[in-house]
Amino acid sequence: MADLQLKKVFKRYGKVETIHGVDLDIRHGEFIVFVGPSGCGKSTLLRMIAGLEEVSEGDVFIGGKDVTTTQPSKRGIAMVFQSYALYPHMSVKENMSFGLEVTGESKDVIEERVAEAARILKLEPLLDRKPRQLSGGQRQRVAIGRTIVRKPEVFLFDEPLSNLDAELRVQMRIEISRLHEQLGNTMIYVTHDQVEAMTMADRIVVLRDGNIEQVGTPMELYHSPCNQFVAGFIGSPKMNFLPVSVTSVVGQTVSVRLPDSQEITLNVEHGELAVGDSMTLGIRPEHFLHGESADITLQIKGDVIERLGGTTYVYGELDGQTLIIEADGEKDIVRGELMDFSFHLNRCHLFDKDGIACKQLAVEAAAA
Amino acid sequence: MVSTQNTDKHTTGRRRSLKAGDRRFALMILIPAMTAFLIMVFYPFMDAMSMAFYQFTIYDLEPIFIGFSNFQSILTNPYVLESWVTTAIFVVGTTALTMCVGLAWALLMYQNFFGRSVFRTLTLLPWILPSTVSAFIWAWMLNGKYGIVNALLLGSGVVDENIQFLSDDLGAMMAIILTRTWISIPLFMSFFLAGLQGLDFQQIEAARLDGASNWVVVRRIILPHLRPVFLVTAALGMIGNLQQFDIIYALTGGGPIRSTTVLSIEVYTQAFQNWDLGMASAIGVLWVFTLMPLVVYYLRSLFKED
Ligand SMILES: Nc1ncnc2c1ncn2[C@@H]1O[C@H](COP(=O)(O)OP(=O)(O)OP(=O)(O)O)[C@@H](O)[C@H]1O
Ligand SMILES: [Mg+2]
Repeated sequence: MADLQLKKVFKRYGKVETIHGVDLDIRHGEFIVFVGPSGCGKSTLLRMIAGLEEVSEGDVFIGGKDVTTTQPSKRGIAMVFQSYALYPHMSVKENMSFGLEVTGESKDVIEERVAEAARILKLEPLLDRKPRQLSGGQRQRVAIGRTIVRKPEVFLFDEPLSNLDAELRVQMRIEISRLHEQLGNTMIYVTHDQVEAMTMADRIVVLRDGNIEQVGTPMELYHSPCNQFVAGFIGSPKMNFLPVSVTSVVGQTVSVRLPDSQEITLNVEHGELAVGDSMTLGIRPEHFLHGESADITLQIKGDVIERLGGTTYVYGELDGQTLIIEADGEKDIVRGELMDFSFHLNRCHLFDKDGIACKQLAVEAAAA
Repeated sequence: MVSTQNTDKHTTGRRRSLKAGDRRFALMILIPAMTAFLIMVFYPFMDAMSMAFYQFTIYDLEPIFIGFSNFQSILTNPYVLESWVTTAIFVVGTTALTMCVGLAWALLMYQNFFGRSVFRTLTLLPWILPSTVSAFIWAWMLNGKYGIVNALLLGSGVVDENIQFLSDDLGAMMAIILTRTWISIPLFMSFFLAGLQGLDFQQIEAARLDGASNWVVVRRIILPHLRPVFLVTAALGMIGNLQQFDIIYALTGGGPIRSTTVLSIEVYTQAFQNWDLGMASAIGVLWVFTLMPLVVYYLRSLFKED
């Protein structure tokens, strides 16, 4: 069993604190993705789990054991690095057997494990090559092979696909997911690509500035982001944000005015909203409807139209606010023309002035 | 013949992209440099070398052509062969010691510790001291009566009585090797450190995760990575040590009783003490031929594209 816990973990470089007390509970066999913008501390957190970076304060538990001060090699983890970190003067086979060799495994075991890993990763024809004779994707597979042979409890990946081209990235993404299925180990995967996060994760951990913003399944994060940052980070294209102001508050029923002066009324959980407060309304591009009626209709002129075939992106303006709208590719959309786009109220998100989501309870009213 | 053909093929292969006109232009801009080289370096060098075929001592009014007899006397002269062996001992000993200490020091300076940059800078000190100054510092430290090295060795019980570094055959050789090593360490360390900077640190981290000990990391990751640097520094170090003159001359003057008379000292003695210029040139030729393979190797590895 290899569940993993972080308890109030801090990282400081001298006076600079980059991780501010992270708590996290990872269950055995989960595929966890750390995602967040550059510099938010994803790598630092992963390296502290690996033992490559000292934990300034707090504890790391793997399989119920406190490993905070344990040697990296004794933690039951293996890691795939962004640069692959293959040993350039060793063949593929030697790269894969190195770890077993230095820990004194017998020749037979090494042979068997390397052969098995090579089979899983389709590396058999490449075993005698040097890393420089391999393509990026093949190097990536060797780096993964090197971790598999050691049969670790937890796999750590630090942006393993960022050096690959788009097509190969998709392919490797699928291979890694399949590998997780096959091996059933706990995997922690760092990326700043939210598509990778959404497609691969059992649960996503969204980080910002050394804090966890939200932990949840991809769909949880998509449907109920707990704040504006997560809402903007998860989903592609990005969620639209419109500034709105509160016009009435009656218990949990809150009315807000849109930039185009329409009013909408929502039932939300909130602390203490008052009339006149400014808030933010969020609507995902894919939740706009064109040519269908819904609770609210906005009139938008499309300045730029991007046709991808199946879908069309419309970039328009609503009272100075830029909006992205995803429409069906078959729909008749003309540049420079005023068009109706509508959405259902249960699709929108309301954030208070600190960016905290005010969760919708039930939808009641329509346009005023 | 073979070698000319070889270079020809090489040049055309690599320079194929240059059109005939371009090549003429390339030759033209090379002319001033080539002329300067021929006049300032090549001609005096050949002139001096040709002296090896003459007898020209203080008793001769002008050089007398004597063919190969200078070389004959070198081959039969035990002193010269002895110098050659002394040179070999000095060169191999110094180069090996410098490489080991330089590597160890570079590995130390590669570690992240408080005050590392101060240490790195201090390491360069022997480099900026004039070599004769270094030689006198070491002569003083190695002094047989009051030198600090003897004081330390005695104090720690490694030896029972003072080593007469500069008045004993073995001691004198040790002294020049030590001094020369001390002076060369900064250069070697810089080479190794530069090589280490080029190592992807994640490889070391990966090895750590794989369970490799410090020693395994050095042997299996770092040394293979430094291999090319090793070969080049070895060649460069040997060339430098073969040419060594000032430190040895200042420390021991080639003595006691010729025990540290390397080829450079021998040439100097023949030329400026015995005034036998023909003999000095002949030894110079021997010296050049000893150097040549190393120089060729060094230049080749410098220009090798890979
Ligand atoms: N040795 C160090 N000294 C001081 N600050 C550091 C050090 N290493 C990292 N940091 C800081 O810690 C923060 C987190 O860095 P980290 O490498 O974990 O980011 P990341 O989320 O992995 O970013 P990226 O997506 O760019 O890889 C950054 O702000 C970085 O500047
Ligand atoms: Mg990172």
